[in-house]
Amino acid sequence: MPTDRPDTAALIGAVRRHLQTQLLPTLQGAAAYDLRVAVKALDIVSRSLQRHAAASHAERSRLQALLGSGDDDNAQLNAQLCERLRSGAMAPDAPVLLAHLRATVLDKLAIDNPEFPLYREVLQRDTANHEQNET
Amino acid sequence: MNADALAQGLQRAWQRQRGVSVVVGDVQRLSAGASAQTWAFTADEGEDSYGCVVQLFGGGDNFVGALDKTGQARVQQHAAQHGVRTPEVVLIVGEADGLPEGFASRRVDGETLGRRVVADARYAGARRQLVEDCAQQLAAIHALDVAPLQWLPLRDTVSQLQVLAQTHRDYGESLPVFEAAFAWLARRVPACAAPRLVHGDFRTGNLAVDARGLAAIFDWELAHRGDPMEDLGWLCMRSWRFGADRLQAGGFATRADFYAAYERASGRRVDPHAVRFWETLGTLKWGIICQWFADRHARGAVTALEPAVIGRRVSETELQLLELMEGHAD
Repeated sequence: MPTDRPDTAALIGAVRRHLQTQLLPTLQGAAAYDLRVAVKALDIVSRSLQRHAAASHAERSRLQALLGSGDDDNAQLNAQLCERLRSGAMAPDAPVLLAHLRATVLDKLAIDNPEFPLYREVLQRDTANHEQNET
Repeated sequence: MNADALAQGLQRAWQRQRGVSVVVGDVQRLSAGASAQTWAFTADEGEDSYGCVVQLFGGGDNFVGALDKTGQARVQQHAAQHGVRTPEVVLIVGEADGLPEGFASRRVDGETLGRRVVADARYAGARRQLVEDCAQQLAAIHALDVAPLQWLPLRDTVSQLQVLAQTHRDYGESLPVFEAAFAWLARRVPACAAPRLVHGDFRTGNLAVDARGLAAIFDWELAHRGDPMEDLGWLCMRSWRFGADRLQAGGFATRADFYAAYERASGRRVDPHAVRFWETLGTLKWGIICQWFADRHARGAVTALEPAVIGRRVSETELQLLELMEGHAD
């Protein structure tokens, strides 16, 4: 069932814009601080709507390859991976594991906080390395 | 809790504990933190006037390993009486006074907001002094005789890892980065000669800074007996550099300068691998604390907005952990 307009993403965007441009200028102190937190939370929701499905799909493929599993439930796959790490069946410094974890965390941060300075540094470094490897 | 009720409760408590009557005035609410209430007041005892701060426990659960307010007051008072730069405790309050559980200490003025300490021009001179002051104070804390502190929990490294792992797993959210970090840390437990007093939360944000440098150390809630390298690792976590990421110690000094200052002040050698271990464990612990906030929100135990959203900072700690484990972190 498609939704009528405004769709979900547009509704969130409208609320966000209202809070930021109409309400925030009228507030001070703790109330203004809390409203900024609220706006950031809505931004996380917006980015999640845009990105979560694709990120989750990519995570699933990587987990299936890592675990040699055909399971299609991310929660189950992650639980299995955690069990292997706990039991020692998977080493915590295995390169293929770390590559998967890194890709997953970068996708998470693209949703949770793409302005996080360490995230930006790591992306820059990975881009620079990639370019170096290409030449 | 309003100012009048608080003033009356404080007066009752002061009479009961110190045996003298006092007039409490200038009662002002300070920070509205995520868990406790903090109020300033003056206490006029005859001709003496004390500027004080009282912390009241907000109710609700503590993160695992936190001391209750009485324990916190006790360890802070012990440190203050033995030369550590932390405010003297003047009063412990509770039900008997018609107040929430808490304690009052002498007021020390100074800036505690991390981003101001790290970036404001007015503290440029103080920042240069902070590395010496913090090294000396940590050395002093670690040098205290632990014989009178046997009541303080002993948290050796292996048991800390186990308790944290159990706490994390009880949230029921499978996080492979955290599991990898537990496994990585378990393989690298540093030797610790003998347990010392560990502050447990010594970081920018819990230090009062004035124009001359370190004015006071606050927040002994996570104090315990253990490996002193834990305090060095915690201070060097990227999470508390408030944007001054290249100054690894608290956002005010390089790691190398801080290690050297601590070695001079303490006469102990700093093992950089041990500090990295604790920095990594500290980052993992902070990530689990973020999960704790999210769990409290999910249970309906917290309704304020900011604590509810902190759970989404787990991913920041995950990236920090990967960087530390892969040797990229500076």
